[in-house]
Amino acid sequence: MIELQAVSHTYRIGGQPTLAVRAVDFGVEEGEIVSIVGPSGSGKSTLLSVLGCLLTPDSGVVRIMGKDMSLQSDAAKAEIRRLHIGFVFQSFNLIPVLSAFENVEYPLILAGVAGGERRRRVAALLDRVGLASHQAKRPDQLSGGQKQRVAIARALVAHPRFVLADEPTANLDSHTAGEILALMSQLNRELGTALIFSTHDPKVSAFARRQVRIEDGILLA
Amino acid sequence: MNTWNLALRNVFRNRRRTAITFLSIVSAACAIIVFGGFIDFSFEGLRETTIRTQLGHLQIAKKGYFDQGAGLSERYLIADPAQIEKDIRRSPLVNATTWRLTGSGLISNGETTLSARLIGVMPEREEEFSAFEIVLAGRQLDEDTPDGCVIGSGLAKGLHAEENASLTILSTTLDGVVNAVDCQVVGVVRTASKEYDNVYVKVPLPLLQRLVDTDKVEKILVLANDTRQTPQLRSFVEASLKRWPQLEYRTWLELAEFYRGVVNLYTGIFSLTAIVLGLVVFLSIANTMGMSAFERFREIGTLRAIGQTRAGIVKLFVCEGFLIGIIGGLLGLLAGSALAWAINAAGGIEVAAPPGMSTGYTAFINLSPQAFAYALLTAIAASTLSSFYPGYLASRMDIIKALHHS
Repeated sequence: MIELQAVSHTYRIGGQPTLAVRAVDFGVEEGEIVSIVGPSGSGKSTLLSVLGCLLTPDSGVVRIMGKDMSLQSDAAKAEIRRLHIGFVFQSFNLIPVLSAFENVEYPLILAGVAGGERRRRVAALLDRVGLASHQAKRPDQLSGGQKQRVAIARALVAHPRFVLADEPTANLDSHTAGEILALMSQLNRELGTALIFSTHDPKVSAFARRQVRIEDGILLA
Repeated sequence: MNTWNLALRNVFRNRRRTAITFLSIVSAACAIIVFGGFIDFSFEGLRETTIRTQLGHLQIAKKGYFDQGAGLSERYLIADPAQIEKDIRRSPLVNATTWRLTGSGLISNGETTLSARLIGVMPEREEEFSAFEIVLAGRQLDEDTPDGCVIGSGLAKGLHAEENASLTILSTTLDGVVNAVDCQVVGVVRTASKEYDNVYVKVPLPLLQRLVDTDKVEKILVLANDTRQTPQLRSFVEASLKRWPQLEYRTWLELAEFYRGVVNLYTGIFSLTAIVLGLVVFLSIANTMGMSAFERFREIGTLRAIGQTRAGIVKLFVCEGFLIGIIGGLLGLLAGSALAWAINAAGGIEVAAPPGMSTGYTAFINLSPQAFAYALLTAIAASTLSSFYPGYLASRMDIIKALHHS
């Protein structure tokens, strides 16, 4: 479980403090699909960053799998991300010099999974996201939808308990966005991985079983 | 797909920038190889000149001789050189041996008198020991001219002495009595040193023995087949001299103070050059890696987000630096070898006479393993070290800022 208690974080933009999230209490259980909805600048990305252990909030408690993140070293947080959290980014964030296969394989290398097992898992997942025939292609040879499928496969390949997706369909056309959401939903059912994604689009948000809204850094529901 | 593989792909990601980086490494490596090869060639020439005109590879003398100051003392002369020489010549390492007696005195043509450094040699064995003397007029000593002498070009000029000129050498015997002998100039030579040419008088050993009134010799010079055999020759002579406890030996390197001084000086200059070139490579790679880190903010943020540690990011940059160094260094070795070959094929480099030397020389570029090692190590060390700091900065980057960098 990921649990936030009274989490607040302030950014300084142009020297002015801007409160990104205010006293947020929030939790996600394994296997859930949760959407975080809100307009641009409402604090969605900050909330996901805190949930994903990428950002240490100014105040409040973040517990992942029962561990207080404020007490963890940078290396320990990296290990938690490596083993338990997958990320899907709005701009895909694939490594340009690696093929689709290698991009998906990379988290398994970091996790120390043996070569044979690695190749088996990557091939199976690429097949599952419909990219078996594109595995040797580099990101610049793939379409936006294909890149996001590779990013989803990368996020899931290490069998994390949570996948955090920041506006995963924002750069995709509506048809491809629908396909990507259906795929994520299906993988959630098959693998039991919790899925937390942010969006400003109510139609996309409707894919989630639980929806929370954030405005001006305050979690409304 | 491991860190090395990813690093290698990152190295060739921006090919134009990589090419410019390699060019700076290759240029530095070429400079080190050519300069190192030039120095190596010069050392080799000076070494062989020193060995084959003055020292031999090894000298044997009475104990204490090498530590005594100037002057000839009966106490330090060898009475039975033939016996010792017989022992030494048993070794196949020994190419030649000869005996020497040296002294100082005055040399006169009747009108002009100049000081002289007298060398008594065995003419029949001199060929190997005079290989680096250039005969300007006449010839070298031989057995048919027991009263002949060969003099340096500076001395010949000072005495207005040409071939067949008759000169008188004045000195003192070992007992301190003034003595003189006549000699006939059979040749005028140029040695490596201009100073030496001004005082150099080479005479048959019996003539000098007669002048100083002794039948002994000062030292036995031993020449190996090759300078590289000096350590083996040293071991053999050391073992042989156990039967002659009153004798000791010195190798050419122990005796060649001038050579050691030159080597130390030029090695220092070479090291400084390698350091400066290494610094140039260091700054060039640091710039490349810094730009690379800046361009890859988002990618580094992604790697950190999916679980890469800070140490892993530093390792990635250091691996890239190492690969740039080793690939650039190897290309540099190839380019440096080609440049050295081209210089040698074009007839070498004309070098003006160094200070104290009588003539200039044509230098070639030796393909020196030491210069190769320096070039490769400089490239690898500078490149690897310069990638640490950009790697460190990248590893400390705020992940959120990195992910949103455009």
